Amino acid sequence: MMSGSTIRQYYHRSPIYDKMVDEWEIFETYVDFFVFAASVGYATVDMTTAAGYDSTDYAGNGDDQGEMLWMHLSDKQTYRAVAASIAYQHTGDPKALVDPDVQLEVLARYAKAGAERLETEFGDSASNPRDGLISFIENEHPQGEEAQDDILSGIVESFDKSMIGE
Amino acid sequence: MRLHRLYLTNFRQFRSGSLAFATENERNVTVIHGQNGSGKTTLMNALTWVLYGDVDFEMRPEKLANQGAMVEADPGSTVRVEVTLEFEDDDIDYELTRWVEYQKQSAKDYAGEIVDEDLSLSFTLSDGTRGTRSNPQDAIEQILPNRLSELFFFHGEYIEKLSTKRSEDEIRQAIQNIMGLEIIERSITHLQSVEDRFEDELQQYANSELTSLIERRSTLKEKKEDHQQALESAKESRDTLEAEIEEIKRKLEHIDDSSELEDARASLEEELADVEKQLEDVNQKIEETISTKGGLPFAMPAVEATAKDLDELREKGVIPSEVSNDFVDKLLDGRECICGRPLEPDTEAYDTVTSYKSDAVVEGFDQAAIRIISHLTQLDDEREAYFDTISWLLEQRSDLRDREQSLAEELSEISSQLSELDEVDPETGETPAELETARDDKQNNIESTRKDITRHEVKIEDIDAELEEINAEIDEARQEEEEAELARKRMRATEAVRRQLEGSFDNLQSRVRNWSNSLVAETFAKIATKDYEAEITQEFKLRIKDQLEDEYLDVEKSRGERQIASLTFIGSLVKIARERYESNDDPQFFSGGIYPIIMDSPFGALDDEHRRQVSDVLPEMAEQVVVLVTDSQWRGPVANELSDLAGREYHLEFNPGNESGSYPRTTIEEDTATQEVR
Repeated sequence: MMSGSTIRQYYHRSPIYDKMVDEWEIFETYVDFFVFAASVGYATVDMTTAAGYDSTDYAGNGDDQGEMLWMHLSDKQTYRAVAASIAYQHTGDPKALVDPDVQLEVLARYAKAGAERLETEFGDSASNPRDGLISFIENEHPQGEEAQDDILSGIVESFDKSMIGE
Repeated sequence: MRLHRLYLTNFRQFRSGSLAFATENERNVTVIHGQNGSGKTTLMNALTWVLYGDVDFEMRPEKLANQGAMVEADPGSTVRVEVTLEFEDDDIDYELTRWVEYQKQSAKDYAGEIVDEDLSLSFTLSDGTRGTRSNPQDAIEQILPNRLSELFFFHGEYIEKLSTKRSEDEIRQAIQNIMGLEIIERSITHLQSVEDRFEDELQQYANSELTSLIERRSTLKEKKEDHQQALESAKESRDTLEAEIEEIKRKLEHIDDSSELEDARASLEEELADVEKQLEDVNQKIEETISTKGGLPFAMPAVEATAKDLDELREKGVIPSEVSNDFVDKLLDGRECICGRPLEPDTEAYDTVTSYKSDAVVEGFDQAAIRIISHLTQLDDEREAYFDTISWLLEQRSDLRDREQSLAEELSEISSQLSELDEVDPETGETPAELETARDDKQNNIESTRKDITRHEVKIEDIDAELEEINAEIDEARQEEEEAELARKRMRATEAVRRQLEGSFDNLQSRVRNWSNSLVAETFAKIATKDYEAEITQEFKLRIKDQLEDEYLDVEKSRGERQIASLTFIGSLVKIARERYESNDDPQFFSGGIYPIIMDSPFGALDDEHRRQVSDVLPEMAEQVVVLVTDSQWRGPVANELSDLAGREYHLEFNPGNESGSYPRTTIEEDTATQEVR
């Protein structure tokens, strides 16, 4: 495995990245928008039927190609947990939980799908689509089992007992 | 250069006359006063005419001959207009005479036609040797270059111009003039045209792709220039409108009927600005929340599903991994999987379970699992925090928008009330209603001008980006063209020289500005009665600072001080010219000189206190100062301050003539008091 500072992944940087980060300044960095787009892609797009799923389009090309460095993503615990979980759920392979290369590649695939969705929603917006994004998150995020606090607390407690020994 | 005496014959309303200039060091001021129209400006023009052949009359500039002399002359005879100036420069006495002869063409011809003219310059050296300069105009240009005469022979309007808010161009120009920097400026312009020529050459040799790229670039440059000009003009309009609105506000504050409403408006506007700032902050917080937490509602199901899977693995004993091999061995020995399927050797199920035994639980898997589980609660909290925070921020924003709306309504109500106040204010001659309507119009204009400014700025930015791309493409295409390459090298060499010259130009300009700034500050500090200081900024702006408050004053509040500072600025240029003259340094562009200052109506519309202060400045401005003032400006503080410093004082006596044979005529009469002192 490569060291954390050299792990990187090409991704499809569509024009919506520049708009969301540079023009409207809603997202502070390209990393933030990359993770957001990947999360949207994961929750709203069926990758097995998405166009270009089998190709390497997710890595972008020419002017539409960006490069994501693991070191920029891994310094936030939230992003590490999200990357590991999405990669594991996508591959079903425990190895994905510990392999940053796999995690970045899976995120890049979902980020392309999510960015396309966001491009459709907001690409033509003449001004800052801040409020549109709030509604989008409100309406489009998975509404499944919201009351899982007890289940999650139970898992945490069990792990504490058996793996940390508390 | 020191002026001695001026003689006039038939020059406009001066049939004949002369005056001597004050030359003593302690009493260096010559005062010439008279009523409006008595001939002060004509006297100034007599000086520029004898020196350079130029006059600047608003009325009939071509008619120099005295009307009475022309009427009295017989048709066919001539009238000679002559001005002689005696002066001294570099220990040499000069006598400069310019004359022109007008021939009367008919009995009713009072203008005449020029039939002969000449200019002569004779000199006397300190040892008594006398001679005549063969090319008098060139000699005058050496002694007092025409460009400097515009700086040192000036009308009060020039001072007012220097005192205005946007005088930086005038100040920059004056600094360029004093150092003769227009030579460099001309060279820079010339080099730019040479660059254009090489670019044409480049186009001629270049291939069609390059030609088309260069054409595109030229078109873009033209477009950019158009937008830049429009931008400058829009900015100027905006500044003017802002100043006009400020002026209206000031007037409304001073009118009894409207002052209370205007105060209330100022306070509401302040609150509105604060609310708008808060709205901006709230929106920024919303964006921060979306940026850092907005993805979690979408990603959380993946995290939760993973946590459940991991919990299942834990329950099955796969993790922690150190117990997993024993667990797998037990399953294999028992020939049954935990899901109930049989595990017979050489079957797929057996191989799969066997594979869990060694590397199935990869290195670091336990830690990764712990990391996810340990952050599980935190991630879930963050997801909830996202919705709570956004909801709270939206509520705050809604309140602020309500307040914003209510403030806008209150402001609109004030504006309506002002629009109904129609009593004329005796001081301004305007009603609050008229002022408010004018303010509304200007406010609308300013908003549309601001939009124009943004539009042009965006366009210029777009064009710059496009130009950058085209430049890169041009560079690439050029490499293939040998001839084009040569032209390119020449163009770049020219460009390098031009840039170097531009650097020197800026550097020299900045040095003189610094020099002038320190002289202005020093002289102003000696004269100003309040705790103000004057400054010529790096942007060539004239600014007045209140030292106690440590803030710059508005133009409106410092009109008098600005005029005083403008005069000290011109005085600083005279001092710089003198120091250059006396310095042994390499003169570079200008060797300097000692010059007099001649000013027409320098007091403008100043109040008595500021007139007194200006009078204090005048003797300080140059070795020799000539002041032309109206009788009304001369009376009071000006006369009190200057009388003792005036080496010579004259009064212009104007006789308008009548229809029975006498014509407009001015005589120059010397004041007896100064004669007695001498």
